[in-house]
Amino acid sequence: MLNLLGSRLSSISLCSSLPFGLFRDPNVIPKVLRITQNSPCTLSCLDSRPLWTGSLLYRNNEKRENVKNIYDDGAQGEYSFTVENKEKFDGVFPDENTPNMLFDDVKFSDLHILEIKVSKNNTIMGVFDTKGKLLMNRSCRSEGFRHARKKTAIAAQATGFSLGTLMYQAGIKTVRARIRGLGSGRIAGIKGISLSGVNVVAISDFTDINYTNDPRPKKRRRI
Amino acid sequence: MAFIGLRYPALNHISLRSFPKFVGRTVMVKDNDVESSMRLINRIMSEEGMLKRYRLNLRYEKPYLVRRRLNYEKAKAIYDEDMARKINFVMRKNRVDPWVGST
Repeated sequence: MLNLLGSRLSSISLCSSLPFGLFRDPNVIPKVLRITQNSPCTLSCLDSRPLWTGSLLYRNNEKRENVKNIYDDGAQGEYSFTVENKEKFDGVFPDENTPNMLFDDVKFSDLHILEIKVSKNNTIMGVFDTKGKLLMNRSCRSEGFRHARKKTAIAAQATGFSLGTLMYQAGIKTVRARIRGLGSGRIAGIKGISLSGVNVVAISDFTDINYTNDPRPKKRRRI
Repeated sequence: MAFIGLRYPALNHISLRSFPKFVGRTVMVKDNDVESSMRLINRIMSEEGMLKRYRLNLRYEKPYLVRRRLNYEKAKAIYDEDMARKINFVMRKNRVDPWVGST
């Protein structure tokens, strides 16, 4: 009896003496069992919890990002859990020299402006020159989408592609973008433009943010 | 400047947007990679609290709802601060780093 107890204690001490990382590895545990198979006692101290790696730590956060926005707001990339290097943002933000920088032999401040107006139910796009004169415009309705299909991202991408081809044929190949509003066509619209071959040089956000209630927005919908 | 679908044409002469145009809220695009630039803009706008303010002002928020929301945010801030302090206290440790060199 005492002999049995003694052998059990020795097996337990064998478990705890193994290094932390190796002990949790499923390939190592069978070897440990093989060593102690001859002893007439059981390895009851074996821990079967998985190793807590870095990938598992962020898995829940990624899942949460997918489920959160069932209604497509166009605000993808809003919650980002990455820590960026300072070097990643070299030349990404404009500075005091940007208005005079040349893009395709045209000053940035003289470039044509692509305006994308995004709303809950539609996306409208237009090309203006620097003075503000409208040159051409396209909307989801002009692409043939009607009613509820106008508010989809696919419609916005089709609109962007069609306007982009129009612009390219008219000779407008470099452009800066101006985006207004939140909606499903926010990213899809400008993606359509880039697919058509037009070079988008900068993207600006011009959404109307009402800090005071002036003009007062519409009353809440009660469903 | 002409804007598509401007609701109040009489206010055209007043600048409704008080930030430097094409300098503020702007991201330069590299190699026509507009998707990652848009994601960056969305991230910046959300971190600055602009998207939250935009969503709040889509519909009018009555004064009683404003008071309710502000009180909730104050209470949540107190709770979050105390919870973060507790977590940092409970998680404090003095162990040797098991994975040396992995930041």
